[in-house]
Amino acid sequence: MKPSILGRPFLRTLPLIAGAAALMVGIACGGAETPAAPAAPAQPAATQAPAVAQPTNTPIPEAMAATARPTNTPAPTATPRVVATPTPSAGATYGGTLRMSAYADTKDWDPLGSSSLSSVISYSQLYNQIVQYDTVDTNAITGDLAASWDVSPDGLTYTFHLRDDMQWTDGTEITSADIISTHSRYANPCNSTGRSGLWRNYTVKMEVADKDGGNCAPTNQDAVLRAIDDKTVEFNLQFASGAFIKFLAIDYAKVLPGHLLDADPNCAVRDAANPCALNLGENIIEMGTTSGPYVLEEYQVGDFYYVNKNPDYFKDGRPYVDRIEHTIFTGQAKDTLIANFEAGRLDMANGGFTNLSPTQYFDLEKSTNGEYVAHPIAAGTNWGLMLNVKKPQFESHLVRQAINLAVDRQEIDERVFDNSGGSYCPLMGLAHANEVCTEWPGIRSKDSAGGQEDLAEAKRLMAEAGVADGFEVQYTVRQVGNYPDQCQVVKQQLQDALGISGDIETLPSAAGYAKYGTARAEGSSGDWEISCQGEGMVVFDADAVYGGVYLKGGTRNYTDWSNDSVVDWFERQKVELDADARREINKEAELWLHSFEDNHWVTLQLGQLFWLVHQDVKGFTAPSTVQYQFKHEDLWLDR
Amino acid sequence: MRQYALKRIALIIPTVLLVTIIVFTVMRLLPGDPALVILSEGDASFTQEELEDLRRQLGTDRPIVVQYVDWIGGLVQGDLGTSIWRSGQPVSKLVGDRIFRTLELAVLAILIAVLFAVPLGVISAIKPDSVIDYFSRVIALVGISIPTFFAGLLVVLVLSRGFGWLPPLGYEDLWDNPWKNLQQMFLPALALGFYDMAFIARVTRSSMMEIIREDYMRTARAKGLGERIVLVRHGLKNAVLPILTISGWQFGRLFGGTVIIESIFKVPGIGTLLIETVFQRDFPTIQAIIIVIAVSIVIINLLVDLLYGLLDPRIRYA
Repeated sequence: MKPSILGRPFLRTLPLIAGAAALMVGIACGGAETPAAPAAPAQPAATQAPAVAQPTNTPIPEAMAATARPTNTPAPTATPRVVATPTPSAGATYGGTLRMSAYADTKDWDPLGSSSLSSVISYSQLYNQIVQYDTVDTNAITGDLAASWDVSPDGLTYTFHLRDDMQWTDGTEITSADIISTHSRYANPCNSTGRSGLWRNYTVKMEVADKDGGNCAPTNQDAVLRAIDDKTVEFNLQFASGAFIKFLAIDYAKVLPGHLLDADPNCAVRDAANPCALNLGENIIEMGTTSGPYVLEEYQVGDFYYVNKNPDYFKDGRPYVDRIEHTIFTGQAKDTLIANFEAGRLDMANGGFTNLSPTQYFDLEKSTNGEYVAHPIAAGTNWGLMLNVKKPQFESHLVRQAINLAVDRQEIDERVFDNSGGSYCPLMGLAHANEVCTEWPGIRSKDSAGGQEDLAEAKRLMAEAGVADGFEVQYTVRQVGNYPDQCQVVKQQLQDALGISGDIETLPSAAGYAKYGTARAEGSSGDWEISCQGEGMVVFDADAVYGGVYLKGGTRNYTDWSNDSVVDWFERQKVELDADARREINKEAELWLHSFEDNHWVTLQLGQLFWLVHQDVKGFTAPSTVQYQFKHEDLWLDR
Repeated sequence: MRQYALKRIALIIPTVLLVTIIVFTVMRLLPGDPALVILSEGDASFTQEELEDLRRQLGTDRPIVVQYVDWIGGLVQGDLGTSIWRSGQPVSKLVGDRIFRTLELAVLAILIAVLFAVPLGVISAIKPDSVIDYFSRVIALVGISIPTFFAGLLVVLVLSRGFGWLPPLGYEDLWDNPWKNLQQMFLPALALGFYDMAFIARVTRSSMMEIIREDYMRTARAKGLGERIVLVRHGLKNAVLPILTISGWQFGRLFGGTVIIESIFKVPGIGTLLIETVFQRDFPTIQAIIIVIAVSIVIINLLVDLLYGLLDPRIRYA
């Protein structure tokens, strides 16, 4: 007789199994509950109601509506600029925990030489700058450590007057000495510029005793910057420029505790092998000396970092929230990130760069019935194809020129960026208008007759370079954002059009940066050949495009490619105060860059980026570039 | 039994030693130089001299045998070394709690796998060609066919995005908040254990199908024993040996899966650390992680072997 189990006593064991399974499902379901919103103590501190940073409920504009607007560097103001002490926003409530996502782990905790967005979004909350961008009028510059500043009539000297009531969390007073210790590091030519030192392109050049011999002691520090007294600092410029203060105001240019920097012999000059102690999150926690609105409580490499409110913050009434929990969601966790937004587990993305595509932002807005708003950033990222000119494949400018002609930017925009591209011009719309650039060879549509001519010309150039059948190449790409997607499309295009084939190697963010950096070594061509990269616009100014991509030492110029003509154009335009004249210089440079007579960066487009913020988060206004507004001292929760 | 256990424990030493040699050698054979990786950080240029200086500082310019002896000397004293990537931080501090989270994830995954797979396999065996059997076979086939990372994505897409079952963000320690910890660990463990569930279900089915035809099963029924006792005490007990073997094997495989599953589900285990350290060529940390994993696997397999002895007296006295 066939044994029958179902319906027999054995079934009595099944409820136990089912119970265990139900328990597990219960565990899973339990996780679905939206965590209770942190109780916000009813302490509205507003006694005055100045211009309030109200929630921006901006409807999503058409992707192209946020097209890059060319701006010109304003002439410096020769009048004293007094900054009012910020007062708490009317109706703002205190307390609660903000939950944010980060797109990659922090590479540097020390801003010296720092040029990664994933780093600045973490250390920005811990320190202050001399000046900062206003969080309401996000193009305006306001004081941070500085209460006010003035500019000399000739525009060559900036004098900053610091607030009186500031101290580090260890109780030490914040004085001019901290600024001198910190900013002399940024100005020191032995240190890489990164983004923290971009302002040094405008100040008097710092000289050191013997750079080649390793003696990096400054010999003219006072001529660059000096402390007038404990609360007054002076910066001297080479020429009058309004761009100087723009770069000084970005979140990278943090002021660090001078007494700690001076006490650590590894801090003055960047040494990768013996970094400054403040370059490790773990050390920052241990030392407990920061100044910003938040204090680092815990950092777990690759996973998360948590910050708590600084109870002794020198700005009255700030910050509003008690704690910010940052969770790192790399590209592999993109779906988990979306699921967390859909479930309301995150309040916002920290920054305009996540691993989501524009369409995914819009889908999230829809799927959450508008609970989240994707705030567009006008000037996002200069996406480009980075060619290692030290490698034999790209030695010939003809090959580079052919690639520039063969790349189909419209297809990349459509397939990778959901048609959100702002400008295809090499100088991001700050010289020629996009309508003009899109008629240029290489940029015009490949479906047009001109586009077909471009492809034919590209093949001819390859033949002239002696590689008519193409060659093998290794693509290297960081596993963040849509870099891998960009490379996938570009690879296919170059294979179809020019026979350039190869594999794509994907790396974690920090490892990718390290690999790109191998090409900077003297006499070394580096460990990579071609890459899809982006330079997040620091300030929306041509200086930032040159400084990031086209000048030696630029944050995205890993082969230290340089051309005298470009240097000349850069120097000429940066001192030109007449906007029209400056634009003309840049137009000349742009035409030359696009000719690829000599260039290393194939511009793909000015990419559109978004800050994804929940409606309950108040006090947020989108900045105009992707590189600032990470202190979060004005954010509060309305729930 | 005691002698058997001692013999098995003694085998751990040469096994681990062999693992250390393999790990150390393979790490040195991999292309990539930690000194170059460190110097390439940031935007500064560097010279060949600086590169060689750093190699000297890190000790990577010494002969591989000297490096190995130095490392193993520290290891036997409980010193896992210092991280190259995280600027001289002790490796033990970096790996620390993370390894226990990963272990917890792996143990939970195997528990879930066994809990679902054994009943599924048993029912499938005693009701061959029934709806449940077909269902079980399809599940097993799917589970075996899809890679772990895909199972992870499926869990996120179907359970998290489809049904809103989402683990809370952050991490709570098992001992501090067991309920929240289990909430956080369940979905990753489910994704991780999916393959093993399928595999164990198949093994259980075939093992049980053989056993239910055995004479002693017929005898047990003839003696008038209840069906549950026949199946559990006489059937399952005998079928459990291959299941145990498979579970022991699978435990090692689970560690590999945790690397990607931890990244997908944001579990702060060794997965994310291992990925970063591999690319940063942080030899001391990678070696420490692999050694800890290897020792864990050896211990689990030892426990499995000892369990054999308890379950099957023939092994005990062999």
